[in-house]
Amino acid sequence: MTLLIQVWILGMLRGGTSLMLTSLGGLLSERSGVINIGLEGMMLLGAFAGAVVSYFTKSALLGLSAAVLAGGLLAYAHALLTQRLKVEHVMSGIALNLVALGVTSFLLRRLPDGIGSFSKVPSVPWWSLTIVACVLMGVIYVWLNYTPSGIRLQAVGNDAEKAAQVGIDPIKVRYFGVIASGMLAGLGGGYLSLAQTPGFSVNMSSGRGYIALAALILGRWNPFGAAAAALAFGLFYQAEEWMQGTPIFGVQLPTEFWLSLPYLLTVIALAGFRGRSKPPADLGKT
Amino acid sequence: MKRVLTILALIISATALIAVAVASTGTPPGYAFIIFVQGAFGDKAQWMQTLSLTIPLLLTGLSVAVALRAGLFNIGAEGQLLVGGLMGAWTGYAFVLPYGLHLGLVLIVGALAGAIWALPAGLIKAWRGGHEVITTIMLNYLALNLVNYLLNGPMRAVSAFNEPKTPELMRSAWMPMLSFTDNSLSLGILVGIFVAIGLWVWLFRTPNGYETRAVGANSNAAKAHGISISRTLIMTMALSGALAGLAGAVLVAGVPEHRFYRDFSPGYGFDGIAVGLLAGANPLGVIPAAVVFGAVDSGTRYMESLTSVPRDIAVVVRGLIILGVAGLTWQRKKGSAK
Repeated sequence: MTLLIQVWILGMLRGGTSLMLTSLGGLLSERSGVINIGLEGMMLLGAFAGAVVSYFTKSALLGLSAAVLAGGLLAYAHALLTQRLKVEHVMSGIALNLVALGVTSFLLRRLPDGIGSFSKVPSVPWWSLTIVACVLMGVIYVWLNYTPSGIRLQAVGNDAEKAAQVGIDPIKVRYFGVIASGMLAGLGGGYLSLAQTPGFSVNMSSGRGYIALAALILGRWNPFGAAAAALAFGLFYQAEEWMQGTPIFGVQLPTEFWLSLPYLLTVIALAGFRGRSKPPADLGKT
Repeated sequence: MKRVLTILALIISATALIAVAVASTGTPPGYAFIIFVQGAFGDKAQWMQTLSLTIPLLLTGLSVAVALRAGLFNIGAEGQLLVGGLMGAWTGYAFVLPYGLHLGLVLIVGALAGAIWALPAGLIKAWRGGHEVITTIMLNYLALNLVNYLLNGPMRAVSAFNEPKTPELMRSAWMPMLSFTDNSLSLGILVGIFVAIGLWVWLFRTPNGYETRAVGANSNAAKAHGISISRTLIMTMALSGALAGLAGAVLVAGVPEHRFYRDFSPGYGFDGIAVGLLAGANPLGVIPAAVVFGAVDSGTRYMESLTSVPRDIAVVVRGLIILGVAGLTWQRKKGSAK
């Protein structure tokens, strides 16, 4: 029995780490007042860049750095569009996701097949990134609540005009929040292609960026809550891998049911969730 | 001035990006472009293909545009289209009905299925404040799994050995072809144009349409005028889903196969987002916008068959068009309700 519990806990961590990292990234962006639907594309680009660099340099660590950079780069575009050109946040995010999907699918065809294979892409043990995610969770919590710069970021997300009156530059703060969120999402993507299942495949993130956003909402824009919700979703991603073909109460459920679980639970969770805690007041307005 | 320069720089870098991508495949960008234009509008056959590809984009574009009018982002058109197409196919093969009635029923069932699939997103947005972007995306994945399940099991044609597909629709449920000489363009194009005109009239010439636009423009002001925000959001989301479901039904009744099969939609629902944005969420503007994207589809297919440039380039072009045109026309208004 204890063995079973261990397996489930490990599975939860293994399936949830990418969601945890990305969800914490989303937190930094949204706490500064910028909606980041682009997390999905940032994850995807991160997963792609990580696999490609790891394949060519034979170094998983360089791959991870490339994943972080790629996510940050796409996030920089999001910051530029939303802050400098005042484009609708959701619009910009959707477009960036499309571009990321197009670019990665296009380039994957032009590159050697090894990018997609387990044996050719050097990887890191998955739990190493789980530890990184847990440390980041604590660091972000302390930084947001107990350091001047973290408090400034929250102030901008809650009321940018007031923050500007006391001498904070909201644009600068949001650039930081958005780019940091992209780097974390990129790392979340790198986890997929360099730790969880080494190698890159088309549309590898498959909606995890959006599930990370849902985890952020269910976790009430708080680092511990977001991480906990992300792990819960991770458990169901794992359940899908284990439970396929296992009868429940003597009924053989179709594969598609297990594949649907994480998405189904997201909808149910959002339907049952009353927004008792408010999102950052200025979210999406700036 | 600075803004104009930034936009110009973006357009130039986007064009350069596409040119480099094309050049990387070994085809000169200029030559690829000529082939691309020939593939989209070269002769009557290419025009027919462009317009055929326009049909689904027209209806999914309308779906996205209508939702945008109420301030909703419907990213779920893809899933709504799949569910609508499959349920439309089932109506078409499982029943025996007189000619006109049967086709009509296929379209109605498809639209209803799409509306039902969009409803949870509307309800969660109106009653719980959950962002519709997340819920519609989740519903897309659920639709894909549901369709795969039904296609592999209960609705699979008896003779389908390798490719899962439904039985063929009864002839009484087929969409008529526009011309008797070639069977490439279905009446679906006219259905799309009529629906576009109808939606424009509703939005801009009726009180209910005005209310819907008021909610999208400024929900606080609309509330102050006694308009029910939650009812508007739920109804508009359902209407948006119905249009995407109709797109699926029109497709299944009009494609040469006359059945629903695996990989039925190569992403028409997502392309609809680009079309709806490009049209500035105006139903009449959706018509030319859909033709533009139909041409991109048709041109890239032709290009893929004649040069070394893969069709994936179209996805990049679409994303960049959204960024370039729609992104810049959808500015956030100061003090808007969003």
